[in-house]
Amino acid sequence: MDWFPLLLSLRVASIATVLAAVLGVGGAYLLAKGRFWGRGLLEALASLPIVLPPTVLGYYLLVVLGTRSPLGRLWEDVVGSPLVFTVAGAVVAATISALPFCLRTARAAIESVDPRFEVAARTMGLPEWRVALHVTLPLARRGIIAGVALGFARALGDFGATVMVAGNIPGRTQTMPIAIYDAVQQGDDLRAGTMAAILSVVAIGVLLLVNRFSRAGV
Amino acid sequence: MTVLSGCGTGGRAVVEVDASLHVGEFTVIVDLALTDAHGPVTALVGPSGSGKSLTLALIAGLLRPRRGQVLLHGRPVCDVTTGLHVPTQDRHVGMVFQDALLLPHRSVLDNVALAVRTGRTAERRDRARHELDRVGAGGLASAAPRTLSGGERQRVALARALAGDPGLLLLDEPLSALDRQTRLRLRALLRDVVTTGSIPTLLVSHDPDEVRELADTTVPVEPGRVGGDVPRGGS
Repeated sequence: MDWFPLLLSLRVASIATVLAAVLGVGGAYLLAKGRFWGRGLLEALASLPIVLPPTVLGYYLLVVLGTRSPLGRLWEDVVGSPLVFTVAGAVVAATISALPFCLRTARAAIESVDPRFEVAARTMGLPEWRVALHVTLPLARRGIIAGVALGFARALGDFGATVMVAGNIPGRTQTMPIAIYDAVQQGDDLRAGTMAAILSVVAIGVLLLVNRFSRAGV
Repeated sequence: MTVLSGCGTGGRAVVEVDASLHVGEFTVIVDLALTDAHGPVTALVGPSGSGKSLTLALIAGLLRPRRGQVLLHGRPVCDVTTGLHVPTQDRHVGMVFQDALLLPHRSVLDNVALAVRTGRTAERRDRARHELDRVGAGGLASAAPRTLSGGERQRVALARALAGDPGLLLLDEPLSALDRQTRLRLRALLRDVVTTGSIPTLLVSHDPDEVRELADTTVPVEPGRVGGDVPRGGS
């Protein structure tokens, strides 16, 4: 059994989850508390990865980050190698796939915090950033953890966007979902089944965690 | 616009409000000029829903008026014509609500220490312990807020409001959710704390006994109208 796809998937999903958590919680706070022009559009864009077919998402990422795009060229100038067909590309694809799950769940959690606690904190002399840090986010932490866990599961399981951006290079960019596809193509049922079982166990574990943290209470 | 002299009774200006506030369909006109000559505790007295709590929220900066201005200790903190709105955290007011609103994820000591405005962590915690002692809640420092009784919570909420060295204490029905015995005990504590510390205090209360015992001055409130002429020592 080749463990590379599993280890790569865990590595990619872990980094992507951290990125999606930071962007997702930050974006969720902005959307929950901010009143600014284009908020509705930002909200729609952030949720797009849920409704778009992953291959379409991957296609857009290729257009935006490919070697002929300004962003792709900038990456290449800074890092020295292109973003597409690399592990970094897989991380970007997984981050974008995970982002809406982190963001939407965190936003709902932030909006469900009793605003009177925030009011009390302001009268305690706390500026807005400390109200967020000491009151809002800690009180929303269960929802935030649930969202990050869902994001991790999504990042771990991404196929379409990852295969478009990072390709299917065994030993380099082949994550577990892609390796499962490969194994099925080659008729290697044992390998496909084992990897599918591992992914399923992780997914069930994540859902149990999500359910535990989604239950009400502080 | 009415010019606020604020010192009609002599003494230094504490709160001057000449503003109107719109919340949904409801309009409140606030006309207040309190000085330290009115005594430390001024009570807003009137029927529920008349705008007393909204007035405290306006002074604290939690609401913006549609017209007028608010001055604290002679300093403008809100002026609609110039667009001035000093945020709540910079107004140096302490507030106690009907529900103590202690942060449920922090210990009692942390709740109070968070409100201390200056010093390093150890100093803030020392100051928080001092404030807890002052309200007779020194033994509760490490407790979680959910384990406290209603009276204990309000003591901690008072300590928290005092920890920020407020120039003005706003008490929004702080004792109304408590049983009679606890209310009487806390009433005495409140009076003691604000008198000893000479902290100007605005109290909203429905309880005539409470107003009689605590307030040096009362401000009559009618639905949609707060203040007007404030009788000195007129409770």
